[in-house]
Amino acid sequence: VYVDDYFAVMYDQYFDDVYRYIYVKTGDKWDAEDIVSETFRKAYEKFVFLQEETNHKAWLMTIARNTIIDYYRKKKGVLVGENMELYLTPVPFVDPLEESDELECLRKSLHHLPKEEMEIVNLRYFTDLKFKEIAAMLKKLDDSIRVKSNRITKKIGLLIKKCLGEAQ
Amino acid sequence: MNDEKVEHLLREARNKIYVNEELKTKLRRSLIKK
Repeated sequence: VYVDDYFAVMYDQYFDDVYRYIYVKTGDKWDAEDIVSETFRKAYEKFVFLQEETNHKAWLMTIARNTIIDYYRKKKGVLVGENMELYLTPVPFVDPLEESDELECLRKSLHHLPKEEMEIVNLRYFTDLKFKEIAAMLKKLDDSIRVKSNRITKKIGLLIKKCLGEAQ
Repeated sequence: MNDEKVEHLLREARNKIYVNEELKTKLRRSLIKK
């Protein structure tokens, strides 16, 4: 019962972030929901073995990331790695009927980012992870993630500006 | 476009992704048996 109580707290706290992380990465609502369910099932099975000092959110996102890879490997029979990206259409937040030019340009700009940069954007802004948590997940130094994230923000700003036709 | 504006847009985009509350409730019930 205690395990279930602790798991329930983690579930309630992080469900939305896990959902958004997976949805942004896959761009497909149905696939995303299958993967979200599978992620929490795996997390539930492993939760009892979790070390007390482990960062729960970073741990959950790592399970989510691995579950996405497993899901597409099974579903599409594709090789894991670069090829998997061909099957994903990420960044699904814009509804063309109601979005502003700025949001549409943001979406287009995100499509121009390399995979690694998009992962940092997803973890930082869509998943709301701290630099420290992103660094732990990606096995990098905190400062390195902070510097990269700042550079990516500037890059996105330039891309949006260009998209809006403001570039000189 | 400045950094603050970009961050604001990214957060706005995040809020445009609506979580499926029905899935959240159903899955919670199926995992946590109490």
